[in-house]
Amino acid sequence: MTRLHELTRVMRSKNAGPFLVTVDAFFLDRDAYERARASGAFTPERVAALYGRGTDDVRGVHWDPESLGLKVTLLKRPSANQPGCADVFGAHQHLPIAYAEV
Amino acid sequence: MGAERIVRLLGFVNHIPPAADVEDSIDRALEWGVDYIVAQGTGSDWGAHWLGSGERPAVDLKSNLRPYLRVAAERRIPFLISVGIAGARPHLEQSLAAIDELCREEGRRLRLGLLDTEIEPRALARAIAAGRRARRAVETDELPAELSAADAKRLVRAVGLAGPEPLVELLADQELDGIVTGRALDIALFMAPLLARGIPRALAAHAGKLLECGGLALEPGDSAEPIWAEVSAEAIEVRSPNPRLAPTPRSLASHSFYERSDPHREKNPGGTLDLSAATYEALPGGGVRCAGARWEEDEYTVLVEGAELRGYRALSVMGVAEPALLARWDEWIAAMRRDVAASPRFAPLREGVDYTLTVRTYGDPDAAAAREGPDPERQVGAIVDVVASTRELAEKIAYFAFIRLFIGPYPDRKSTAGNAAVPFMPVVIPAGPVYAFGAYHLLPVERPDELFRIEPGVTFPREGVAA
Repeated sequence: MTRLHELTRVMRSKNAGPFLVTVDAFFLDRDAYERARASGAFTPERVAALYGRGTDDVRGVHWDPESLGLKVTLLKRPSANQPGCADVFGAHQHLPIAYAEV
Repeated sequence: MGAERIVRLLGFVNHIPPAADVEDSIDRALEWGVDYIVAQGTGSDWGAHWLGSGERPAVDLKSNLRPYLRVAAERRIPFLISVGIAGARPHLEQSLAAIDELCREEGRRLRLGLLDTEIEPRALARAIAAGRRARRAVETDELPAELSAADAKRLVRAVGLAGPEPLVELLADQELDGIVTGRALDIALFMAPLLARGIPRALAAHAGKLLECGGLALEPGDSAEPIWAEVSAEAIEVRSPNPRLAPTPRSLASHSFYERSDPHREKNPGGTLDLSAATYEALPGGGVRCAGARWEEDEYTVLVEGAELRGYRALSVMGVAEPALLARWDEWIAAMRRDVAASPRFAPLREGVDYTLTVRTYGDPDAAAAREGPDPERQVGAIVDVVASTRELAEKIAYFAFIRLFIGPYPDRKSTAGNAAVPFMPVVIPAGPVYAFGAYHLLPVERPDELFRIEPGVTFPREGVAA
C-alpha cells in the first residue's frame, strides 16, 4: 500500500486567501506523478470524501505536468473568521490527502 | 526604445529578515544591473486580526529594509515596497515612522511617493447605498453574496488592494527615490515599473508572480533570500543573486502554486493571468528563461478587505500527566461544560451567540494514559478558549471553566489538591478583541486609483514627525 506523500518531495498546505485552503503535492519524478494521476484517487469526489465534505467544497483539482505538481483547493472550514479555527495559516490541512492511498 | 524595454528587478519580502549574507547577494545583483528594488510586505492569510486591531506582528521593518534601502539611496535605484501586513493607515503610518528613523540614522533625504489604501467604511457604505455593487470574492456562506451598506458600516477598518496603475502614476516623478504603499497586490509592485517601461501586461504579471516571494521561487526556496530578473518585451530571465540557491524550470513553475487556488489562472484587477502555456527553459550560466504567459482583459475590480469586531477572547492553559484523569479526558471536559451551562451566571446566555467555549486538546490522552511510568513533564495540553461579547464576560467564563477543570471531581480521583499543572499566571490570559473579515468583496471601479489617496513627492525624514 502506497500513501501519496511517499511519492512526493513536497507535501504541504496553506491558505489561498482567508477562505480557501490549498494542498500542493510535488512528485519525486514523472513516474510518481503519472502513477498518482492514473490512480483516480484524487478526483473532486474522492477528495471531498477524504475531508468529509460535499463536492461543492472542493474548488479545484489541478495537475501540472511542467512542475510535476498536484494542487487541490478546498473551502476552508472553519476559516479564521470562526472562533473554532485551529489552523489560521492553513499549514496543517494536507494530511488527509498526504496519507490517502494511491 | 529597444534598450528601454529591458528592466532588471531585485525582489525581497520586507516582513522577513534578510539572510546574513544579503550584502554579498546585493553586490552580485548590482553587477548584473538593478533598475528597481521591490519588496512586498502585506497579506491577508493571517486572518482579519491585524486589519481590525491596527497592529502588526513584531516585524523590525527598519532592520529588514536597511541593507537594500541603503543601496537604493546610494545608487539612486528607485524602490517599491508595500508595508504593514494588513496595510491600513495605522500600519502605513507605523512603517513610515520606521523609514523616518532609518533616514535620520543614515543621514539620508529621500523623495517618496506614498499610496494610502485605507477605505473609510462609511464612504464604502455610501457608495453601496448609491448603487455600487460589490460581490464576494470567494463563494462561501461566511460572506454575504453582495456587501450591503449595513455590512460596510459594521466594519471597523477596510483596505483596497491596489493594482499597478496608481504606482505607475507615481513612477512618472523623475526625481522619485521610492514608493511606499499600504495594502497592494504583491505582483502590482513588480508590474508597475515594467508597465511604465512598456513591457506587456501578461509578461509583467508573470514576472510579478515569479518574484513576489523573493527567493522562495528558487531551489532551495527561502524568502529571506533575494531574487533577480531581467524582463524584456519577450521573456523573463530569472537568476539567484546568492549562489547557494538557483532557479530551475521546476522551482519557478511550482512557485505559481504557492498560496493560490489555481496554478494556471489567476484573477487580477482588470484581467486574468493565464499561465497554462507558460514555458521555463534553463539557460547556460544558471538562469531560467520564462515566457508564454497570457492575459485576458476583463472588468477592473478592487478587492476590498474589511474587518469587523466579533467579540473578545480569553484563554487558559493547563497540562495533565495524571493517568487516572487522562483516562477520563472527555468526561472531564464535558463535566466542566455542564457546570458552565448550569451556572446561574451563565445559564441565561446562549452558547454560540453570546459566547463560544472551545477546549483544544494538544496531545493524545489515551496514548499518554497508557504510558508506563508517567512523568510530570510529559503532559497533554488543554487550552480553554472563550470568545464572548465583552472582555469581562470572556474572562469570567474562562476563569469559571479553568476552576472547574482544576478542581472538578472525577470518579476514582486521588489527587484531590488540583487536577492539572498550570504554567501561567494569570491563569486567564486576555487575548484581546477578535476580528473577522466582514468584507472580502470585489468592487468594480471606473478608475484603478479612485479608492486610494496618492501623495507624490514627500520628503523623508518628514519634519515634525517624532523619531
